[in-house]
Amino acid sequence: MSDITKIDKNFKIETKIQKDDIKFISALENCFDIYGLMCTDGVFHRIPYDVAKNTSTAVTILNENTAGGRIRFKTNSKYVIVHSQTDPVQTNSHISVLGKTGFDLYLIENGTPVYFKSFIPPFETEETFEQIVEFPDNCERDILIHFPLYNTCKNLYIGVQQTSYVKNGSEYKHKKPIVFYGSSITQGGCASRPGNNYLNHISRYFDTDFINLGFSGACKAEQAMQEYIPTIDMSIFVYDYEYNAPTPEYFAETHEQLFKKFREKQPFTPVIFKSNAERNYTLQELEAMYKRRKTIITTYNNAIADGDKNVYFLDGLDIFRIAGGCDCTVDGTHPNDLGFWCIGQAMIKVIKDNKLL
Amino acid sequence: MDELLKIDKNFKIETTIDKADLKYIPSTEPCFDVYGLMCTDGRYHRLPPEIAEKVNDGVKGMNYNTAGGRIRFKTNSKYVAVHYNLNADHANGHISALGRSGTDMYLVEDGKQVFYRSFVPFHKPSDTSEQIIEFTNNADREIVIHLPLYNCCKNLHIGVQESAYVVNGSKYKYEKPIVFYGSSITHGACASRPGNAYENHISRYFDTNFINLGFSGSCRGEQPMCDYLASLDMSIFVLDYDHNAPSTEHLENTHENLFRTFREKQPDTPVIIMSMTDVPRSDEAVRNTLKRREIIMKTYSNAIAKGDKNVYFIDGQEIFKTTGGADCTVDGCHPNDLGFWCMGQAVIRVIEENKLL
Repeated sequence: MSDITKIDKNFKIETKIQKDDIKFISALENCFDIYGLMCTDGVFHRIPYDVAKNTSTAVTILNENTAGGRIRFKTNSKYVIVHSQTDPVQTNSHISVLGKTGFDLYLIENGTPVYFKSFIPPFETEETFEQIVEFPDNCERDILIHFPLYNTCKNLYIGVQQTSYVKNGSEYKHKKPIVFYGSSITQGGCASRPGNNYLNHISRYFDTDFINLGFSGACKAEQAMQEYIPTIDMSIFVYDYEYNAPTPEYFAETHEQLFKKFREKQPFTPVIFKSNAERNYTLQELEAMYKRRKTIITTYNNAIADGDKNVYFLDGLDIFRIAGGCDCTVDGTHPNDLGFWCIGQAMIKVIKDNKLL
Repeated sequence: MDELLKIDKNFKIETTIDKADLKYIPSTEPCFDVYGLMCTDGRYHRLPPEIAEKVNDGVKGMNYNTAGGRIRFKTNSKYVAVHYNLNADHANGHISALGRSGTDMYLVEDGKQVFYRSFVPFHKPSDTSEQIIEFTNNADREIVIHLPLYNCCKNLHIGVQESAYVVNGSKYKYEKPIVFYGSSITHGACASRPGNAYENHISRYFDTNFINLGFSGSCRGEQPMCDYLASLDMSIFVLDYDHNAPSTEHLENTHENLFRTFREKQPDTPVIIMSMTDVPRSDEAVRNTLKRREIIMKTYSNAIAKGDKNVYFIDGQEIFKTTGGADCTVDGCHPNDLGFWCMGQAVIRVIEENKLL
C-alpha cells in the first residue's frame, strides 16, 4: 500500500469516463512492472533509439509500435482504465482497430494469465486512447495488460478507484526473456487482439518474459541489428527472420551471418530457427519459399556440423497442418488467431521437448 | 459459353480498376450459382422479407446482411474482380472491414475448397466496394467467393477478362443445405474473413450447402421464425439459439417450443442443439450460462425421453477447453478464427460420428 503515497495526487488527467472516483497513476510509477519495452520521455519503444536509427527508417518508426509490451500489477479496484496518447488510426482493411491499437486484459489465476476483456477502441481513434474494463467486485486481482501491436503508446496512465490500492503484480517464473526477431507476423499481424499473438501463447504456457523484435516489413538483419541482438540477455533466441528479406539471395547472405554474430557473443543460448509457415503460393512464390527454407536448413546443418548442440529447426511447412491448414491466415500470408495458436503450439513443443526452459 | 450471349454488353459499371479488358457480369446471370441467399431487385437477403417483417426489426434489417452467401463459378480469366454496393458503415472496433464487409475467395481443387486470397476492402467508408484478385495464368479455375458477413450486398457484379469464359461451377456433394439458426456468433462475429465463420468449416469438410440464419442480437425464437425454419427443406438443423434470449425465462418459453414446432413438420431431420460457448467471467455470468445450458439440455432430454432418435447435444462450454479457453474469443463472447475452427470441429465430429450426412 505504501507505493500509493508516491503518486502525485495533484496531477489531473482529462477523462471522458463517467466515474467520479477515478485516480490516474502514471505507468512509470514503481507499483507497475513493464515488460518488453523501454521508455524515453514517456514514449514506449522496443530497442534503443540509436540502434533503430542505424538500422533503417522503417525500424525507427516501428520501434515505437508497442508489440510485446505488457504492464503487470495488482489492484482491488472495481475497474481499470487505460489512458494514453497515441497516433490516431483507422482499421486496416484486414486488421481491426482492436488488433492494431487496442489493449487487452488478462487476470493471472494460479500463475496462468487468463483472458478477461479487451479495451476495445472506437472505430476511429483519436490522439487520446481511453477505455475501461469493469469487474464485478473489489477483490484483489493480479492483472496483465497487453500494449497495442501496431501503434504507439505515450504517457500511459492506469486509472483505478481512488479508494483502491495498486501494487506490484506477481513476477514471471522465467524472468529472462525469450527474444523473437522477425517480420510483421512476429510483430502480430493479424491477431484479433494483442494477447493472441503467438509469442503470448508461449509466454503464458511457460510463464516467461519475452521481447518482440518483429518489425513489419522491415526485418532485414542489418548490421546494426546483428550487433544489437547478441547483446540482449535472454533465455532463448527465436530467429524468425525470413519474410522481409528482399530476395532469397539477400536472405542467404544475411541469415547465417546473423547467427554467427550471435554465437560469438552467446555460445550456448538456445536458438530456434523457424521457416515460413505454409500458405497458398503461386509457383513462383513456392520456388522462392523453398530457396529460403533451404538457406535456413543450411545455417542449421552447418551449426550442427560445427558441434553446436543448442540449435533447433522448426519447419514452417508443418505448422498449419496442426489445425485448419489454409484457413490459418487472413490473406494468404498473415496468420489469424487460429494460425497464431498453431505457431504457438509448434514452438511450445520444441521448447518443451528439448527442455529449453 | 452460350451463357455469355445472354449478358447485356451495354451494361456499364463504373470501375476504378485499371484493366483495359475488364468485363463485369451481373451475379444474377445463370452462369453463376448463388448459395445461401435470395435476391430481390439486385439486393441479396436471407429470408423472405414478409417473414423477416413478422419476426422483429433486428431481423428485418439484418436479413440483408449476406452472411453465409456464396457465389460459385468457373472461369479461365487471369483475374476476378468483385463490385458491389453496401452500407458505408463497414467496420467495428473489434471487427475489421474484411471481417464485416469483405469477401474472400476459395478455389475448388480436387473437390476440396482451398483458401486463395481475400478481396481486401477499403479503408475509408464508402457505399461501393470494388477489388480484384489476380492469378498467374489463364488456367481453368473453379471459384467460390464468400459474401460479406455483416453488411449488405447489392448489385453484385463479377469482373473477368473480356476474352475469358464464365460457366457454372461444380455443385455441392450435398446440395440440400444444413440450416443454422442462432446469434451473432452464428452470423459470423468475429471471424477475420467470411470463409472462417464456423458454418464454412463444416461446409468445406463435408462439401455441403448451408443457410446461415444467425441474426446478431435478434434471434429470440419467435413463432413466425419457428414456423419458417420448420418449412425449409434441409439435411440437418443446427439450433445454436441461446445468447439472444433476453432472459432465462424467455429461453425457457421459446427453446423447446422452437424444437417442437420443427419436429411437427420434420419428424426425422437430424437436429443438433448447441449451448453457448461464452467463457463466463463472473459468478453471475457463470450462473446465467449454466442455467441456460440446463434449459437447452432439457429440450434435448425431453426429446430423447419421447423416443426421438435424431437429436444431438453439443455442450458449448466444452468447445474451447482444449485450445486456450477465452483465447478463442475476441472479447470473451465472440469467437475469433481459433474459436470458430473449434466450433466447426465440434459440429463436424457429431455429424461424422452419427453419419448424419
